[in-house]
Amino acid sequence: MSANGAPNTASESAAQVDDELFPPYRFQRMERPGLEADMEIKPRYQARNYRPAGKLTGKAALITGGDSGIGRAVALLYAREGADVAIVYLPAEQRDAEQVRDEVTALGRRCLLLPGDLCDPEFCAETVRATVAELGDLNILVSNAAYLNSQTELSQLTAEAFDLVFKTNVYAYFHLVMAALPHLKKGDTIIATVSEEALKGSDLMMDYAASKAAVVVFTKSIAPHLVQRGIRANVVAPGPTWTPLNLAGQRFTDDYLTELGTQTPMGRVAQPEEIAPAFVYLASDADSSYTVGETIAATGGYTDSR
Amino acid sequence: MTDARDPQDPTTAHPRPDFPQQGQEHPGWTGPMDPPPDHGENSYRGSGLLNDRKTVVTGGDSGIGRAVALAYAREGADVLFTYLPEEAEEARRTTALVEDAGRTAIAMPCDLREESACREVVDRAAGEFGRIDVLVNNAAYQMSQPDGIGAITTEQFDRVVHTNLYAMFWLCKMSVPHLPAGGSIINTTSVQAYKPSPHLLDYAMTKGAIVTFTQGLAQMLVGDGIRVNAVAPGPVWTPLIPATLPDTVEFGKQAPLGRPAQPAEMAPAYVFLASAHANFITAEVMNATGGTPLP
Repeated sequence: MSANGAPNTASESAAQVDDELFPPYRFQRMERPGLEADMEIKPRYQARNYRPAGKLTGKAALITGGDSGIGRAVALLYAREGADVAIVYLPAEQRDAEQVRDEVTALGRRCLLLPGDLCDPEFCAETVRATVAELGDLNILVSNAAYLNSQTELSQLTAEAFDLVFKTNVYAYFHLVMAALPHLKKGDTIIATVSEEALKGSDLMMDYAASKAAVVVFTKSIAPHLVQRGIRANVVAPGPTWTPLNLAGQRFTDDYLTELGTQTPMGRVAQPEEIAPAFVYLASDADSSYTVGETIAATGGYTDSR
Repeated sequence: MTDARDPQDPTTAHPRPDFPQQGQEHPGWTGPMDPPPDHGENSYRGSGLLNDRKTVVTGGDSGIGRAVALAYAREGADVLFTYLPEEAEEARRTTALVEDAGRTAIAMPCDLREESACREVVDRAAGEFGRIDVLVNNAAYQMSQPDGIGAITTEQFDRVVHTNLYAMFWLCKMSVPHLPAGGSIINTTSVQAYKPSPHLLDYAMTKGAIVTFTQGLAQMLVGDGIRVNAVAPGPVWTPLIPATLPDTVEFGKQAPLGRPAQPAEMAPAYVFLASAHANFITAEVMNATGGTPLP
């Protein structure tokens, strides 16, 4: 087993069990937006058993929500595959972002920090302009930042929260795509992060699930147009993953948080490092040149997602 | 693999139709195909993702199966593959590709419609490899049936079902005792599972069943640490096409990408699903359809 607990081989992963990876998880609840630095059980994002192969050499990637969680794991894998990255995050998440910058820089790649609020269309455009200006190009857009909202009862749905969810999860994606299009060239890619809830619906995350479903269908709908320009757009749908998102400002019960992921056939949450390789796959010409408008679901075995 | 610095336009990375009209007898051969299929011979670059894995690939003599065998070998795996006896020349080419990568190739001529043949495949793999880390059910039979359901003979229906479903069932059943935790099964389904073409009614039905079988078997084996997934290719330029479809001129033209896939473009999905990169992925179908929207 490597230092961060990632298995080096398949047999090792079966032989060595690490308590932190399986429920019940240690209870913790945080204020929004929730910092990875403050999580008591650290998400595993360094993917030490991952084998980079120069799949993204010389590319420039813009990753929203790249400071923590899945976005952080993607930023680091992209850097290891040879890409420079720009990460977008909320100003309150500066500590997490600096951690990513330090680790990307240590890999010999550049990391541009872009704090701001993606609910502002002008800021969405600014992140694209800044990426092109500072990194010299934009080849991979990863629309990953999300606002998670949860309800235990229908009466908890509010117009204000619904609006914020759709502004963050859907409108920001739209504005980022539109701003990126003039810069994207043949061979470039767009990848959006959704969630199992987008495919299944969720009585616990009604507005969030609907917003993520919109991202899936929007991607499938624009993909045939984009591919005419040689640009591939696809989606990754993770199952429950150990990130700050679930712990920060949700109405989830204490039991729900300690039992996160038990509903999946694998019976546990994913670690960010287990989700990130799908983002490399979809960004890499060598891997996915015929994959367009597709959703890769990494859900630990759910079957009601298609 | 081309250098990632060179932009690869997916619409022109491989030949676009129109292609010459070409027909072949079943099962079809790679040699006469125009343009020649690309299995990744000059492009696939491994990075040790499947070091010392023991793999079984059915229908590995040509098409997607050959590309998977090549990719697995270049990722460090040994490969046992099956082929029909009349495809011996094709099989020699696959063997050479695996051996050129420095790995062991075992080529087995057999007709997987027989339960006893499937037993021989698994026994041979278990005997020579000691285990089976990855089973790829890829061999398939299709034959265009343009004259309606009334013209589909029982013999045709039976051949499709036995090749595409019974063989998969038998090979999974027999392989599971030899699959360690961390191992995986990958089945080949098709865009036809979701968008059945009338002239491939029987074939499409089996591809739908493969999706359901994959999802169910994944639930059955998840506790054993064995992942079960499927790949759903869109149109792919393989010998099956001129051997079973009446029109090759516009093959793949209807995909939003404007061309068919080459086998080389499918193999990375089989590598990804077999590798530790897909540790949290089971019961999943990876579509690679060139933009044809699927559920």
